[in-house]
Amino acid sequence: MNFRYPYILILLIILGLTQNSYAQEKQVVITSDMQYEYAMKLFNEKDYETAIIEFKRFIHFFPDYKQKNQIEFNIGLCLFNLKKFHDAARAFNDIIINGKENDVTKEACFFQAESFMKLGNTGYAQIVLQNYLMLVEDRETKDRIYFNLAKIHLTEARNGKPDSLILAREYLLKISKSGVDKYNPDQYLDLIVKVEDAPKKNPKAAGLFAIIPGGGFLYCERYHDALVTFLLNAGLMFAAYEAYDHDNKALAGVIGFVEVGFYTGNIYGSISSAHKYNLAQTVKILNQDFAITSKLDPVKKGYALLFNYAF
Amino acid sequence: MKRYFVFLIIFFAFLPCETVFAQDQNFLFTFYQDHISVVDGNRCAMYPSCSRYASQVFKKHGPLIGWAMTCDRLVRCGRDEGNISMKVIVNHEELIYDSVNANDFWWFEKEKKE
Repeated sequence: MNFRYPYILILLIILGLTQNSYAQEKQVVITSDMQYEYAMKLFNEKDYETAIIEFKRFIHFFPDYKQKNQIEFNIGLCLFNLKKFHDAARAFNDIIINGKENDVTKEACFFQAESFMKLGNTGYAQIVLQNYLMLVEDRETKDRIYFNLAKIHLTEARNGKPDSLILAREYLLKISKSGVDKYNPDQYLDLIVKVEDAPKKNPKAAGLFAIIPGGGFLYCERYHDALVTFLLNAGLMFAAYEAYDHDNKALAGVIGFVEVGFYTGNIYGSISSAHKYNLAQTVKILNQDFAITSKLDPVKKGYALLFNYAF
Repeated sequence: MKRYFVFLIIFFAFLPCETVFAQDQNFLFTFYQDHISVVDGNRCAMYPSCSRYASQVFKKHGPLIGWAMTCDRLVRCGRDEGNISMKVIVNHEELIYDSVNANDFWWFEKEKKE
């Protein structure tokens, strides 16, 4: 029994030493570069949820890092790529408010506008870019803002906002010669001309044709509506006349009241249909011909536009 | 005959639009939707339905324009509108989207400005 104790003691000492040396081997010091590289690796692998955590960890452990707003911008980009556009817009806003005037703040402005666009709020997107336009002086950034504003107005034109094409053209024409090579505004100017040259219906003419019930709808190529309007109005007019003729004035008054509604509705509907026809033409051309999406490469810090052309 | 038209003009001129038509739940349309439409069956091919559209348009534009736009909508319901307006799926049914905004966008900008 006495022989066992030294063996156990030696065994325990060996085990203790092994554990200690093992723990010493596992000690790792993570530098800011290592943490940043790991977060960027996750970003490039499109694991944005984890990338956000690692970028936040970076800010927590290295709060004095010089390019802190670059990290915050990357968090905004992750949110943008996760389609959390509201959160992304807020993240970019923090950078714009707190950051100094540099490339990151510039990109934050453009991406905040893009986030608002994705949220369908073209008004806010315009405000962001318009405000930034007042601050910048270099030609290149101004061209980019003009191009983006034109893009926003083209989107609004697609959604039926009046005068959007005129505004889009104005901004495209403001792009400088150096910007022309980069953004090729002629392509969009041609598209605007194509929209303007598309067959349109004159709302005033539609209203005039509607004097004969259904005429306005007929002019707007709405043949079923034209037929229904004509028959309904003719029927009500005839009914009102017959009621009056049979000395049933009260009934004639009620039918006449209903008929007045359908007749004015026929004129209103004809004018409205002409506007809707024109809008449908605009939307059809803009949707068929192109779609623009912007891409940013945070590693190479490059900005690219992707054009899709439907054949 | 003149008396009836005078009566109608007076009726519309003094109609308490704010109380009758500007309510969120107008009793005329609520009555139709709750007691007539449920028996008659919902066959409207548009979204919002014609009665809801009428309710919205009366609230937005008052009785005169509201009446004209409602009559216009009743005529257009479910035919050529489908060629130019987009479709929406409501309760597993494909309907033609035709809101009030889609019909007054060319002259009424008040709501957008607000």
